Amino acid sequence: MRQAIAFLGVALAVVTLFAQGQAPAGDGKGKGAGGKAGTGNVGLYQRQPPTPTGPAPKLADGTPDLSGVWLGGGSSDADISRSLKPGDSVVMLPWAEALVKTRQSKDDPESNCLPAGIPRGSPYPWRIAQTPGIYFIVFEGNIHSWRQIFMDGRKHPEDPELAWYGNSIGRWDGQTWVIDTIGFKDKFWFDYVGHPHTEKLHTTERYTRTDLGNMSIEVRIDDPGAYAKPFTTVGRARIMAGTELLEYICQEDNFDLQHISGPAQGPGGATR
Amino acid sequence: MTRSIFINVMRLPGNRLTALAARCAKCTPMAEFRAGDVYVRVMLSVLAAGLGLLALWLPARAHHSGAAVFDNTKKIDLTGVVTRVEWVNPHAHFYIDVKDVAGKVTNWNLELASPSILVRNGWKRNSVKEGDMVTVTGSRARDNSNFGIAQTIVFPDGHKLNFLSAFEDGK
Repeated sequence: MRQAIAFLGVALAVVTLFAQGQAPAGDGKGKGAGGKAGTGNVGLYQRQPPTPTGPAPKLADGTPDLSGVWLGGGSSDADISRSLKPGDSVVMLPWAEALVKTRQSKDDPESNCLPAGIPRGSPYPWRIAQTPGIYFIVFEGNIHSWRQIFMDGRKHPEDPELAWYGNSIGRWDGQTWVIDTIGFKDKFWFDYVGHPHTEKLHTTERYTRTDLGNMSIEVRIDDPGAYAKPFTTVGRARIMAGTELLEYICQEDNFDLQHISGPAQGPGGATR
Repeated sequence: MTRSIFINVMRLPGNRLTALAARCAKCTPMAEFRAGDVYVRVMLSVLAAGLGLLALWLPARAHHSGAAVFDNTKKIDLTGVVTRVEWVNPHAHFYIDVKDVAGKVTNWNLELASPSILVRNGWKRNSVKEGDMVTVTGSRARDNSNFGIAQTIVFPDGHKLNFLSAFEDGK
């Protein structure tokens, strides 16, 4: 009996971690506790208006319209290996495996108000702005920042200036927005448990607005400096119909940092 | 939640698993777990409700794992007067003076989610204000400082707030 109860407890904890691990981030499907009839939770946000329904909109020139405030992301922010395309696996090179085992939560750049990078999600919404020749992703957090994606047909520079969000060029593949990014600094962690990357990282993001309220996201991670083979994450985002982006200046008072201790870990203390 | 909890724990030989699963195909949806020769079935609705309650008690993170800061095994239950509110990112904080039986006053720093999360969930920046008497339950920082996560905040008139939301559970 004790064995069974312990096992059930572990099962509950594991399922809860998945529920909290935002796999994908902000994937709030349910009618939430505290929600009024007809409203529900979206990620951490309660009593949100229903996700709008209808066909995916288009701009006047026929290009898919990706505007709106979105919540969600391309991978679990707790552990990227939780959001893999079926059949894929994360196989770290030995140095990366050893590094993850020594990483400490206090050193996570995201905890230090530095960018979460690609494709790490966050509990905060973001917006896509489509302007001629260049699109922007504007993040509420974390951190309060932005990405620029060149849509004018240019190629990557031969030797791009290294950046937290890299150098991004985009194109349309049918109804799917594809972003190709290289030129990363090796700074951000893929998740709370500390999966690393190198300057060889090459990401390919695919965003498809499947209908008015939903976006599917796939991100191919190719980093031969840290992983034995590429892998692809699968995530989603939903429109938050009842809100605009708000200010989230993480650097304002990052009081918690001095109190963070222990190995790099996700919610509930899960480590690699 | 009004349905009775049904947890069925049985010792079964391995070959009974398939038979049991098949027999219950038309039953109330159940979650099934097995550990060695012990077999546990829980109504899915009960499991979901349990997970929801558990989730409420785990520190929800905003930009770091709550478990890296707070120790869920160190529960706090504090009553005192609010001395200061800091409506700042990445986490809002409020401070309360707590008097012990000997009359010694300790000032506690209590953490909330970010203002952007809180306001979307019904909080206002003056939902807790200086001079309010509150009772706070939550967890203490791992480093044992007078710092904790405010999982629930209860006012003398009975109304409640929590770390994420001003919406009382289920209301």
